[in-house]
Amino acid sequence: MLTKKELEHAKTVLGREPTETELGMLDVLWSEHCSYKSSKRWFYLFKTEGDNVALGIGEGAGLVDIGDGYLAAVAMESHNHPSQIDPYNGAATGVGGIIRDVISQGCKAIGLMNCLRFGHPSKPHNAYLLENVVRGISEYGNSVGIPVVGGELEFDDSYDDNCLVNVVCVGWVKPEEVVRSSAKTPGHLLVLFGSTTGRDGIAGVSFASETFSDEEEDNRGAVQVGDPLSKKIVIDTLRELIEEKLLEGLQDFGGGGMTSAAGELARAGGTGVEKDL
Amino acid sequence: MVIAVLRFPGTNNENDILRALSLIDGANPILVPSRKGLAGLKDADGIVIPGGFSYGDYLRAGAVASVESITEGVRDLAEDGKPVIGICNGFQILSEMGLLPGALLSNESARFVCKWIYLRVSDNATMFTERMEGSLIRLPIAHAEGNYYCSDDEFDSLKDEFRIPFRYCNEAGEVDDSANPNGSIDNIAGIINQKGNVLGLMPHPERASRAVLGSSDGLVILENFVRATKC
Amino acid sequence: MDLIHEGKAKRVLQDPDSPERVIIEFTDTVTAGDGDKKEDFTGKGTIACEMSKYLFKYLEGKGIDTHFVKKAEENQLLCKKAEIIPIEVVCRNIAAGSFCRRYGIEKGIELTQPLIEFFVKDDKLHDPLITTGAIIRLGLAEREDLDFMRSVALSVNYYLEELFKQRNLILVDFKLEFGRTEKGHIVLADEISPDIMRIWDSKATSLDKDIFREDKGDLVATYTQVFEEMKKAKPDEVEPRTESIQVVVETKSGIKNPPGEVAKKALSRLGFADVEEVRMGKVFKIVLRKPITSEILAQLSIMNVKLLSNPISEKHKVRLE
Repeated sequence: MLTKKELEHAKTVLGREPTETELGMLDVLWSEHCSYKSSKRWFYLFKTEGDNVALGIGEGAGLVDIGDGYLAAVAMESHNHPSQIDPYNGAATGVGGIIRDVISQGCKAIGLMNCLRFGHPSKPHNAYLLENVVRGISEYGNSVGIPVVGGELEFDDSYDDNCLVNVVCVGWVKPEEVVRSSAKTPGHLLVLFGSTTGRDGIAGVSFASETFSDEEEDNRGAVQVGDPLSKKIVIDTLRELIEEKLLEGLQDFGGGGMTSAAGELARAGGTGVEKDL
Repeated sequence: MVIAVLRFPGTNNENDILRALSLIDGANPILVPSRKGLAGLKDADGIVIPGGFSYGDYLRAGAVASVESITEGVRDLAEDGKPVIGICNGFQILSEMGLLPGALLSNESARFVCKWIYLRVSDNATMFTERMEGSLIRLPIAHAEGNYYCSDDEFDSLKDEFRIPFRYCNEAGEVDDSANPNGSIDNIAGIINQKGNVLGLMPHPERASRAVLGSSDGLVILENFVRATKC
Repeated sequence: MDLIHEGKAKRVLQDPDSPERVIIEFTDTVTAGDGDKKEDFTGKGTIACEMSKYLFKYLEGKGIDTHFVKKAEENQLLCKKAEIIPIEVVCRNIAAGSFCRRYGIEKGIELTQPLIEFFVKDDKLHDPLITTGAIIRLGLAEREDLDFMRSVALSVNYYLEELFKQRNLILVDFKLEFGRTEKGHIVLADEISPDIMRIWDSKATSLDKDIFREDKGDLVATYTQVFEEMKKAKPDEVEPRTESIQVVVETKSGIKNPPGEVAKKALSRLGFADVEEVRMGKVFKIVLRKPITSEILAQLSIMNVKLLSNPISEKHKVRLE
């Protein structure tokens, strides 16, 4: 959620009150999901540089040179809050999102893993969450044709009211097939493809980054319903686009939606984007 | 020989099949997305319909794919006597198309089953089981709707015409209830059509095509299939 | 021309050019109270015929299947031959006539939603109200046919009401008859004129046969006036209405239904020990952008066998909502 301070800052930069659309965009971009504003300070703990790192922090997936002309892609994402509300769909869409991060870099996604934290399963609600999160991950992976090849699981009381669902996707790519997230050529069109989002997926990140309230049960409609069929079609389409060399750049369309995807593409390419709302 | 590997929206075993077929001499496997329609099958000498979740298994597994226009081409090729294999979701599509009798219902356990099983290959010669008649083989299964069902009359003709090449069995090769993973009639894992050139089976031969995968028993079935495309 | 049937206000003649067609001749006679009250008004037949032609054409344009083919002589319509189903279908929006007498309520009360009632078409019995249960058990019509007629009557109600509304005419109630054509299709038959419906103006003044029933004015002049008004309405401005059909697919009895068995076990764990069997099926809700016709139902049954259900293991039922 946009803090008062951030809103003031936006007003100073704009020199006026933001419009309703701008407010919506800022709310999305400065959500925890998109900006990592509270967790950013811990990033230094991760090692992101090295001789074999082909692509570090900043895009869909990290790429590491594994020799023989191959790069390995690894991406990981949490889907904690949605999984706490609707474990099956929350976990399934988490898998969908992380596969998207890997394929949007031009890679073939070949395996899934997970790191899960729950409260003790002796409590019925924890057992319910565990069963459905596991089912959501495995059924989504199975339907889309990417196996779950490993994972780890721990139980602790501290996760009673907030389970952690982290999913990992690994893939591979040849260096010449890597697709970057940038739009460099003025005059080119941005094409949005994939499945449509229902009401269940609109402004999801603002929700994903909210603090839990007692009304979480009412929020069930805010978790997107997984659609592995569309994801498989997107994977196939993307392969064909890459093989036909039709892409200049590609950005996955995540929880930040149009606001975030178009902006990131343009920024990385040093260009701008005109959007007709 | 050109082997068309069909990909419907949601099919997801196409790469496994392409890879397995590429191990076989004389096979020229090509990926044919179903949107290509009849034109996609123009040069095909044989067809594989791989597993996966065509159209998300919506309606019933295989139902939506079975009415796509490319299936007319599959029918024509089958009519001409060319070999056609449907694996898992491919078997479901062939039975929904009516190229194979019966239907694949929800597993008796009502759960998705993913494991290695043993199959007893029938003693009777078929196009797909040459060099393996009567043997015991090991393949993986992974399905939620593999419970083969057909009418009593249909079952009688399947039996009388020796059209059941594969049945689930235990490690000792005994076909019994305890080895039935999904509730199929008479432990049926695969059947052929009357002409003998269309095979549908729930187990995945492509996932048992190299020793490193745990078994290469499935490769023999695919080799027989490739040989049949040359006839 | 051979007379096939003679009713109170119409004659049905065989079309000499086609065995599958009939000519419906509108007479000038008006009756009320099951024929107790009877009188001739010159020109009534012609105006009722004109109006029927106009409204049949309008309803056909909106997708409703009727028996109308074209206008013949000035008081004659050429129609498809259809065997009349001996059930009158009445649709009411506002309480009037026998409905008020039956329930002792005041004329003019608006019903919360349109009501469909069935009556036996039999003057000797004074056309009594009949329940769907009785119709089915007496073999007068099948449940599917009643559901179909109910659906069509509600469509007719919508399209007439919306058309009339444009000219501040209020559709109070109306009676329809249906017939079965040689092809087996059920079509809207009989006529559509102020003889079979109540129309009020905004001050609740009758513009229909009630003028005759209650001796309140010039019948033919009123019919002519209401028809002129009707013709000023714009049919194109009436929005299409969607209709829903439910297709229920079940596993055939005798075939195991594992999801149902799992549900049954879960129910008994929750304490519902008396559950004998649970079978899980599927429901499709199909929304059409036009009224339901026999043709559409036939298409749907093909669609069913091809796609929605697998005839080897499943059976299906079509329900009109």
